[in-house]
Amino acid sequence: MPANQWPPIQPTPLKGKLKKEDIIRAVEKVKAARLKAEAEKAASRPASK
Amino acid sequence: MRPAYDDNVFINCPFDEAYRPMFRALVFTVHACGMTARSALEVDNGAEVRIEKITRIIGQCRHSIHDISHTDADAASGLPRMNMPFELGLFLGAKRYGGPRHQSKTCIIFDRERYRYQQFLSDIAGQDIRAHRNDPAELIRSVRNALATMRPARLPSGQLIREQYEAFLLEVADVCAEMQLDPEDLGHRDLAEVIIAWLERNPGHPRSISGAADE
Repeated sequence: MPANQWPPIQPTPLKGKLKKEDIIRAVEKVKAARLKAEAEKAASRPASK
Repeated sequence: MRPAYDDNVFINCPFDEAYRPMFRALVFTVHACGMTARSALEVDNGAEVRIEKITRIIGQCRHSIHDISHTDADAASGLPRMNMPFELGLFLGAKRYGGPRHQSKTCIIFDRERYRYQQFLSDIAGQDIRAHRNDPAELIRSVRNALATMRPARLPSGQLIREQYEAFLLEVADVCAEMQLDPEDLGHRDLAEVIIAWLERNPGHPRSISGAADE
């Protein structure tokens, strides 16, 4: 296959230094999922008298 | 603003898989205390001779943490691992002969048991050797208490840092998955960046009160 038919090489997060904003975004996404799960768990508990 | 030198902590410890839980706890605690963990793992530059990289990092760090607990003979070769005692000696040499800037260097030295070092590294007798008993929780508490004597800023308690670390461990795999990273294969720099970001987005992070400077 001629070289010019290969798909372009995409940059991947696995290469090079991590971007701080990407890490922050990932941390916030995981934190939001945890808070949501905790809220759902709390809402599903029967109300105490 | 404190200069980076005053907040840099040289980490001299084993880098093998068996020590990884201790290493992560160590790096997390240093950052939770508003300081910056530095180690020979942070740069993978084949053009830089290892000893030059180590001495360069030592020159940039006022503080250091040395773990001499894994100097046992290697199972395959039968020979002891001397890198940790050697780098401790380099750091002490820099403190002794490095000029005024380096005279205030500090060392925190760990072993599995407090007086075991007397059998293989008696030249450091008289220094305060701390025991971590291969327990990350004990390492966190002990590192925090030692750093508290070196920092002008108020530090979170060892208990809080331990709880934060346990919470971090619950989330780090998901954080890495979001970034297509393997949590078992994080390099030192990536690990430190993830820890710093996690601490910034979770309560109790001391950087906001320490005034520590980023490098």
